[in-house]
Amino acid sequence: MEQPSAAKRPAKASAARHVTCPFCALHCDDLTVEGVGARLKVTSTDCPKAAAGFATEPVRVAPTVAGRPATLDAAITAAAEILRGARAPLYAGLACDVAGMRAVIALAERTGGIVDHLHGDGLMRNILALQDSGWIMTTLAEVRNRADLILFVGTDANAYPRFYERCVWNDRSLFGMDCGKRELVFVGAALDTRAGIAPDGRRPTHIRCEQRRLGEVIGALRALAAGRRLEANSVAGVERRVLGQLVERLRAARYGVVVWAPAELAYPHAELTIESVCALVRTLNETTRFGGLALGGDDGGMTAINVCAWQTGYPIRVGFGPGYPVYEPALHATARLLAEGAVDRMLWIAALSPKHRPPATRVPLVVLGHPRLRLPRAPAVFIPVATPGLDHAGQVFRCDTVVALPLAKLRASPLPDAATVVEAIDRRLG
Amino acid sequence: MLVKLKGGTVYDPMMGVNGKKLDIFVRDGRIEPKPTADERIDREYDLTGLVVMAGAIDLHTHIGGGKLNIARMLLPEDHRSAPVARGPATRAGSGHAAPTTFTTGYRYAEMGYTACFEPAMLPVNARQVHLELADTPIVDKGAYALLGNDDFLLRLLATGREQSVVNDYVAWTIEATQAVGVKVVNPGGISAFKFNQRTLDLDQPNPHYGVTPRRVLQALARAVYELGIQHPLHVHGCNLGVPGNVDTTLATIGGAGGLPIHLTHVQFHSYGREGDRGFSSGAARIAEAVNATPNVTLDVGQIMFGRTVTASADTMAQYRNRSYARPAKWVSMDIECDAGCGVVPFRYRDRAFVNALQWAIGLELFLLVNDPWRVFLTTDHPNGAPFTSYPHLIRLLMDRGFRNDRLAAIHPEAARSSTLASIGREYTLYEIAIMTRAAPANILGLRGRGQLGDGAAADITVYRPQRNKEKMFAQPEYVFKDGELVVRRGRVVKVTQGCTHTVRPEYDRRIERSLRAYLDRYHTISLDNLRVGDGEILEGGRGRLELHPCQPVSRG
Repeated sequence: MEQPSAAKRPAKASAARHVTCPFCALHCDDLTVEGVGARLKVTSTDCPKAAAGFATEPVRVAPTVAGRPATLDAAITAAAEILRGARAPLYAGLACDVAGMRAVIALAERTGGIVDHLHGDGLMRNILALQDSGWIMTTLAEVRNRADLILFVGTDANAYPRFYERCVWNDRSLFGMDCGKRELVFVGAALDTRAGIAPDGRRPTHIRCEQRRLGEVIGALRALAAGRRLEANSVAGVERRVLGQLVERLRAARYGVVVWAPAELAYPHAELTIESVCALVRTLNETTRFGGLALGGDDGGMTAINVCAWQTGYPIRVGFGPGYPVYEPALHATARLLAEGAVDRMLWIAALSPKHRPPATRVPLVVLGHPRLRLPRAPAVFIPVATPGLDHAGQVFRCDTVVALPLAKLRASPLPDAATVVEAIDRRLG
Repeated sequence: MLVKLKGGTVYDPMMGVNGKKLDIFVRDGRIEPKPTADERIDREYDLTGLVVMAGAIDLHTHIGGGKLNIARMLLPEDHRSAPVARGPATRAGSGHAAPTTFTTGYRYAEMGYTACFEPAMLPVNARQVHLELADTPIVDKGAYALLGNDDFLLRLLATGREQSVVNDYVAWTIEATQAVGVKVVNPGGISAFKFNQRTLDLDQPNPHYGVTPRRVLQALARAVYELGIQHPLHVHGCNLGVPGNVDTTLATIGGAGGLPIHLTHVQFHSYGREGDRGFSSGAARIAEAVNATPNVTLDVGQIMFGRTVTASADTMAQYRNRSYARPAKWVSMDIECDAGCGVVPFRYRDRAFVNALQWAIGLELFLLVNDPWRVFLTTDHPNGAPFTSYPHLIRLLMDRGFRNDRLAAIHPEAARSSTLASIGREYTLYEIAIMTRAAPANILGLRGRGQLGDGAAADITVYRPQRNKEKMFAQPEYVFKDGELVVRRGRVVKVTQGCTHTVRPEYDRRIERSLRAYLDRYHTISLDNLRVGDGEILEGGRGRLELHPCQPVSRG
């Protein structure tokens, strides 16, 4: 039943400028996108994420109920019936825009459900650090214009393809700094630091240590930065002399930035490493200026935690069982809820990418997904939805939390957007 | 539908009505003249013995946007202690100091407030502010665009660009961010902090630009005045919270050079350095200066004892106060070459000398500034206290005996070093109606709000008079928003959506050329995406924009 939906008659190419990219949490908003009918092509950058994301052509896919094609109306009714009988439904995935999140929270509230995001583990690492000790952070434009030293902790930032172009090796800065002279230091294992080579060929400093032991290295740097003596000759395999030299460079920076990517600190209690990083930033601010920058919150993750925070008071992993919001950072994790049989339905939203498959589950599953999403088994209900930023307008939040950007509608789509579908389900239950 | 509100005792300072028994007629959301005898009254409310005022207006309350949402994320404990269940008409939520958006709208309406203004909207954060305000039901909303630490303006001033260019930039920002006014916070100080400067006085140059806070203030106050924006420049001055800052505040009043300015949360800016503890009240000196300077208005930013969270763009001040964080966690952020934000949870204690004196200083300001048209009731929510403490604050202002009882319970040295006990003034209902209705509508240029005259919006609050003014103001009998009954006996019975108040001053659009080039070269957001479109607020009919006129002053 899959048919190409591109218009039959030849359409004229048109170019949209200042387009926001929905495909990573940097949300670069300087894209030029050319379109012929439903075919879109990014012409202003060779970012692989943008190229792949915008090149995904829409397909006309019918909703399915129990694996059989159904009308949208019938699929919405079936989804509502599944949720009507739920005692503890889980709303997960949540790769969508602000409108989608608003609709999901309303539905979760009505049905006493739980809300989590597909990147919940990474998001929670940061949030737990924030809620335990707070932090000093900075944002992309500050990095672009001010950072004279950037310390990468456990990440090479390559998952954010344009970070170096936009915020590190940019041509000009506001305060007369030669951006090519920025000092880059990487700490961690299996990092590809080539993007950190300066335009003049200068190589970044790379201190190798196991990812799991980053917390020890950061802790040692903190101690040294606070003027304490280090007794050990080495920490996590890093010599005391190397640590001492690094601390001198950190203290000499005028505006330093410490970058981490919570998703790449994938080991138990990595939130403690992040807390340690935040404490290092605080210590360095006693004498100079430093800010943290967390690269994360892709696929609507930052959007989810912002909307959820202003509507419920908690970032994600909120349940409405008792009628009011209950926050359980550990218990309300998607994988755990499914493994423990603590939920009896799941509604999965994956509007941004065909790659976001729902986790395997035996509970009745409703999927609001990208039309190219391939599932090993037909869910109880599948409703293909439009892609925000290509097929419909909306808003998304950037990795640095305070910037929300508009998404554009670049082409006509036969598919409904996720918010419209969720609101329709909600109305059936009202 | 024609509704009659019969026989209430009306306090409407805009019309000069002081406690007169009057009928009010409402049709299609507006107040109407008395209809002819043959017109059918569809609904009548007997308000005999009840007090009737316009809906209250809060001109300074941090209810939405980046820093508040960071405060929400930072403090799950604040929300756990105050859960709000879903109701038949209302959404679930939570929070005491930093409540969720739905809860904020309901609680304001339940206190008889019908409009709230978010005072610190960073232009790069404007979209988020409006998204959150859209989720704040019942009340009308508006926001002040925050300028004065953004590198574009500081560059204009450092290079000596003419005032007309500043005006164009300010006007562009107001339009692009859908603002109703302009606020400046620690002028140039948030920028200075990014250059590792830890203090900045009124006449001290910014370490990079060489521009002083006084220069920033003057340029922005003049821009707001010349563009004809009704609300004067909203000023959060230098040295917030620093003992001795009363001198800075007095110099700021003088530095306005006769231009209208609104000084916000002045309580935090009225500190002397006298006494054994080097901390004293400067309220009398401030009040004296304000009483003598008609171009100045102020809101108090009263503190109340208990837990709250402070959230401010003033990173310099917030960083200075980090060690007072309770619980001991705090956030500071440098934001997009635009401004910053600092979030520090706080607990004000009546047994702590400084907190106790802060409490007394706020009340002294309320009671020593003579003109209720120029002093506004705020706690700088949530910085001094959550807005839900307003009824208690009103009682403190209206009831001297109650006030003196409370004074007797605070730190004795603080009580002794305050003149509060000797101040006999008690606010009247008429004065409360001025400071919470007529005066804010006036200073914001909200036509047809804050009053009950013919043609005004039917935002009406009805109270049952009680000796205990806290009880009276905590639980109105009826609240009407745009003519619809939204609250009965202090509980929301219907959820409506208020409008967003904005102004659109005229300007020379060529400013976009240099601004676009600047943003493309240095920033990570383009001019087109910085702009919040009308459609994003209207949301297909859910929201509404109410534009208020500007009266530009010709430059001579």
